[in-house]
Amino acid sequence: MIRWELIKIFKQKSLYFAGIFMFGWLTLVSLTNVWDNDVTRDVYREWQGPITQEKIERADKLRAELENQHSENGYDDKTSALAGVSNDITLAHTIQLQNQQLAADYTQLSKQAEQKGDQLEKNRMDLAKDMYSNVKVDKISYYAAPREAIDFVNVFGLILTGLFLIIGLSGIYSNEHATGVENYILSTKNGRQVTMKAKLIASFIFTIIVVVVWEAYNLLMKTALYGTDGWDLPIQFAYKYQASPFSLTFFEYHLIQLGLHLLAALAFAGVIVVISTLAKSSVLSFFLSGLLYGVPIVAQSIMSVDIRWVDRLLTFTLTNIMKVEALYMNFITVNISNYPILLPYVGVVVCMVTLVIAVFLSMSLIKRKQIA
Amino acid sequence: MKLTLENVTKTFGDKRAVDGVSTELTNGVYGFLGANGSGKTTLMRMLATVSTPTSGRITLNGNDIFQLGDSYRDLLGYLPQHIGYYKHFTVEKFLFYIASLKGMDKHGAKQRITELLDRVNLTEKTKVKIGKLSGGMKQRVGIAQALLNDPKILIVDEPTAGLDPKERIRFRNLLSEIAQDRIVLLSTHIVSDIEYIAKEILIMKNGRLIEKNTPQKLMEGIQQQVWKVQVNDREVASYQSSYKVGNMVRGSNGVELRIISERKPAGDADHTPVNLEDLYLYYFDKEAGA
Ligand SMILES: Nc1ncnc2c1ncn2[C@@H]1O[C@H](COP(=O)(O)OP(=O)(O)O)[C@@H](O)[C@H]1O
Ligand SMILES: [Mg+2]
Repeated sequence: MIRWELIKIFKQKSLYFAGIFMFGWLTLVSLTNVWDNDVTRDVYREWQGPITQEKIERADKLRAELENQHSENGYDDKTSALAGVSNDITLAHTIQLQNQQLAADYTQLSKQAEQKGDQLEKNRMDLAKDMYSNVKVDKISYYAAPREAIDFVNVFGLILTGLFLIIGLSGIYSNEHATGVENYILSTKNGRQVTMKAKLIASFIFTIIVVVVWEAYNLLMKTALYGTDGWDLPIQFAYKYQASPFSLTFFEYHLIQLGLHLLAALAFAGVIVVISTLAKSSVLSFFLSGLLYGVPIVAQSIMSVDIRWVDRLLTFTLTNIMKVEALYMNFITVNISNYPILLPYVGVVVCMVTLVIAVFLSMSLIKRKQIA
Repeated sequence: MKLTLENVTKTFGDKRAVDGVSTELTNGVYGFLGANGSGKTTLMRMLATVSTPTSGRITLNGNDIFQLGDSYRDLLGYLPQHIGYYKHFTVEKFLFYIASLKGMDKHGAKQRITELLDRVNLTEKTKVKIGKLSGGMKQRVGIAQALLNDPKILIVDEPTAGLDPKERIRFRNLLSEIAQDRIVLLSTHIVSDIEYIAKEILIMKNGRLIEKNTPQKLMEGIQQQVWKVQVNDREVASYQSSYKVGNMVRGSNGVELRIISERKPAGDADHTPVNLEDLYLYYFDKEAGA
């Protein structure tokens, strides 16, 4: 039965139109927006390795020199690469110092909290201290590939997964209704529970395929354009994660990113199956799934700064978890009695719970389902 | 096997599509006769478990069919009034899909599909996409899918719609052949579909089951109300406006009309043997009569 459901999903032509269009467009965008070139890489390679005191001083000197030549007509590749690497080294050093300072501050705050008898706050501050003191931004190399690969997930990965899941899965049940095949599904032995189980599993397989396909594209493109340097650098080198308390290399983070993205995508697939089972038409199902997916994005871009609790709430939407970055950029916890829980764990729980509810709902809906 | 309907009712808003139907069905062919909108499809959908009664109960040998669930569905063959299909699936692929819905293994399905395609005369269309078939051919695919699992309870909703007369006869023969040892429910508004094969005819009107009997008994019941009258061409219209007029046969000395009427329509009117057309006219055209 799973095979049949997969056949039905992959027989949808719109999937291929969307695929050709999206990947064509992406390739165009990434080929016209290449950030660096071989010169840059070679310069970074000269500086590659642990960030020593000597390198920090050299970098400072270099930056001073470059600032002096400032007004001349633009930088050539080599000069911008030198500016880049020296900036990165100084930045790494700054982050390193900041994190040491943060760790010291949090130790202080932890003591204060203990005196006040605020156990939760003490636990939070201890956790923050531990995390920030573990972050080591102490080596440098060329890192355009991981930087771009990671950024792909929260922009294009998010769009691609959302788009393909909605196109591929929103009709998974509503199409049966539209074609009238529902009549057989509801009146046969393996039509209800067995078919719904097959639909769920096929949806999950489809979701995995979607993520694997764009990730393969992502890695191929990034490796072809930027090589393989830098995956072992800490994520703090990427602008968005400078303040992150997580001690992760780009490689580790990318794996986690994909894992979380996939988990959230699976939960979203489950939700689409439920919507498709309830919706009276495929258009409605498509529209509702799109709405569920798009509202957090739109809402966040409109009022992220304005309304704090809405922002918080949006943090836990599947869309946002699929985007992953917001869970890793700062030290944020959700507190259960005295225990601070880091956002990524909360994200995992949200996905799992959603997934379980979606599976349970679709299985019980199909038990009672009748033709409208 | 015994299917029992106890006060089965289905409402859509204020509309009582099926209204308190109670009856018992055992092995044999049952013909549901009724005008459009009389509730045949709604009733059959409930029997096929694709729709649940608003109230009342349907039991098989004493067990509620919705409680039996998939073990009841295992016995079922259902041809909905509007056959559903994927237009990009070939006939064969579609039937394989339905076979797996019915839990048949691949080998058994293959044999059965070949056999049934032959029975419904579609062997040449095995590899043709269903979307490309004519209405009658699609209907025959529908008949084949209903029979795939050799159902003990066969529910076919207007199975002959879109079939040409030759195919209709074929279908009738097919049905009467398989009708032993199983319950066959067939709805139609074409009387000849069930004339010779129905064990009993169930007449539906406005959601109610108003008659259930053997064709013989039903026809005997209206024996006194079927007349044959010789009229001339000019009189036909006037008879049609004041009586239910069935078949007309043009002869050498005018037109012979079949008339359903409580009263003798004319001095020279004679009784004539009742057929199912008369029955249909009697039940479904009451408004037209005097
Ligand atoms: N899903 C529905 N919603 C509202 N009314 C319905 C629905 N299905 C059937 N009906 C109404 O119920 C009545 C019986 O319809 P149906 O069972 O299709 O009759 P038949 O098959 O004898 O033509 C009709 O008046 C029809 O309009
Ligand atoms: Mg009908």
